[in-house]
Amino acid sequence: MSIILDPSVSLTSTVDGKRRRKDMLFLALLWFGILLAVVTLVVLLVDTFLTGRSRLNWEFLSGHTSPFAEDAGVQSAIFGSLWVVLPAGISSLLIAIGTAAYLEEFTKPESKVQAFINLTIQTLAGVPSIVYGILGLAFVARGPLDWGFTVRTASVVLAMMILPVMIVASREAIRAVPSSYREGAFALGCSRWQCVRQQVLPAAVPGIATGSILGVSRALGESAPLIMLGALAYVSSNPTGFGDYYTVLPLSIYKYATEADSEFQYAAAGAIIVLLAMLLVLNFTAIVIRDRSRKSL
Amino acid sequence: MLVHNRRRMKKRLSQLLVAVLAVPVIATSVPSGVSAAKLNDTCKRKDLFEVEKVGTTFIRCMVKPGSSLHAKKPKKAEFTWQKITKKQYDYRTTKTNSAIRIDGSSTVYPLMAVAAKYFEATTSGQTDISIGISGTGGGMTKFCNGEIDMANASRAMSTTEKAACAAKGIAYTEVLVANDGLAVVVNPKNPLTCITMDQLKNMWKPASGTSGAGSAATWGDVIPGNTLGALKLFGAGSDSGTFDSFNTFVHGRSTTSRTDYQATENDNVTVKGVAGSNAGIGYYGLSYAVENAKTNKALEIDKGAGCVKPTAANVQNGSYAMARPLYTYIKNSSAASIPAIKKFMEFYLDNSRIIGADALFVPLTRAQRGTAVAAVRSIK
Repeated sequence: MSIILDPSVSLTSTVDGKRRRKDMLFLALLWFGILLAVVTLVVLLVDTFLTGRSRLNWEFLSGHTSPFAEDAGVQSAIFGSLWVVLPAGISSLLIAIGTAAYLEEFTKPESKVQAFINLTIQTLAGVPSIVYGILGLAFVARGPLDWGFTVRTASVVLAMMILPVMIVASREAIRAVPSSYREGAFALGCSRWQCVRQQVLPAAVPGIATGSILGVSRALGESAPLIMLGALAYVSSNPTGFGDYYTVLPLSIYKYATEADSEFQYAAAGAIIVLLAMLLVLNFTAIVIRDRSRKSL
Repeated sequence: MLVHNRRRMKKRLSQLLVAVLAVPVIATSVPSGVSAAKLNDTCKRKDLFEVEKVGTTFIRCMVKPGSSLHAKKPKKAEFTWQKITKKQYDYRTTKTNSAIRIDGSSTVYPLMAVAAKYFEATTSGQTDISIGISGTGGGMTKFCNGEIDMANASRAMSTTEKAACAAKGIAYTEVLVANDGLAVVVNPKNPLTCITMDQLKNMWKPASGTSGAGSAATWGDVIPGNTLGALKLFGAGSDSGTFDSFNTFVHGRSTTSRTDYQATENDNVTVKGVAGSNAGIGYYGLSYAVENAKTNKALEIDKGAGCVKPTAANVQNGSYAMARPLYTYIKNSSAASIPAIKKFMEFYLDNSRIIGADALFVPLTRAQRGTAVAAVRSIK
């Protein structure tokens, strides 16, 4: 009776067992891969939390950089990171959406313009971040723009750095919008711009939000180009404008982690937790935006 | 079916998010206490510190009364001004609403950061001092570009840098701020206690890793009778002032060095490397040797007049071979337009003994301090 009801049992007993063993082996390999990744991550996170939790208090969050482990804090680094990353994220997001909409909706896939821009974006996406730092040092901090080692410089360079990632993500999102949306809009007499603005872009928001968060997360965790651009090791005040000097969280972590005094390891772990928390908040915001826009569709 | 699956996925995802968020919460709520191992590990120099528990999670290394050199004040609040300078009142009432921008050597950074911390405490935060760590060379480039007010350097300004400053019309004043010694360290299991300059030269000269006459691939090649096997060398990366200084001490030229060693800008890597290998040998600032005396053994150095211990006194009196002066360069025009710069330097020199000790440097001698004070006063 049960054999008749459950075909898989009868099959395994008849189909050759060698293939099934291979199947199981492959599945085990896959599980091993997943476990390896997850366990490593969890061990790292738990270790960091256990080390850093003693520093997670108001004193640490409100303190500034310090040469002494016990009153080292992250306030100026948090504000510095926000001042640098938020304008970078917003400006590059706007440019990315514009570029993506232009490439996907206004040019033909086989046109030379698109081929050229495609090549440029793909090349830029593969450039190591330190190269953007050198570029910024030569052309933004010094050279033609001569903005000095300020929040403004750092923000512009980070925006340049994450722009390719953002463009690629936005393009994917726009491409995923079904062409029936466009055809429907055109059938009702919309112009191309009306169609893009009122149909395609709103439908692409979830994808764009997901992609942009990748870019902003990268900017938030970046320290290499900012060392070139004069991010400081010791600052005792928050930036109050784009012309101010600054430090950022990844640089504080680096500085605290390399101090000789082993007490600084706790401060470094604490700063890592703060950075992770900021990333989680950012991601969460993106998820909320995505879900909202999905519902409204 | 599809909708159902999607809902389930969403539920899974939200569960995952909750799980991820729960990690820090659980981690914070686990009752914590100070383990015995951590207690022992924290205040390494038992002759200088006594351990004090603060609450359940913190340990503080309190400076023992009477121990002066390399004593470290763990907290700003415990800095007692009365004992330090009679001039504190002047500093506190000085209206110095200004910013001082400092950059340069990461070796000098702790010294300047401690000085800045204390100075800002006395001027109630009216002076914003910012310090970068772009290295001696990087700091000099910025300084001679006119981008910063002060440049820290772990060596004197080079002739090319002087020319660069002259080309931009930047007049500056050199001030000696502290003494730093380099320590050559080995694993505590290594029987060696003293090494000669010639042996170091042989060990670190270019291409000495290759086999043949005069090679230095094993400990036996350098120190006759030493059986620790292949040398495991740790040293500074070529961008750091420590690399320049070490090569100048040993070879007489800042760029002469063998290249087949573990090079790092992070001295902690050297500390861990030497601690983890019986055949390890490395070099870094003397302050690191004091901090890591348990796992790394600092060698005495013989430059021809017998073995000399790497102590503060020997660094100050010049008998220790690997001692170097640390400088800061002040842009004269900045000092004229920002009065806080002169105040800051005067404050530093008045308290240089305490600040130097707190930042783990060897303080200035009386004569050195006198010269430095005169230099700062002479800035017009």
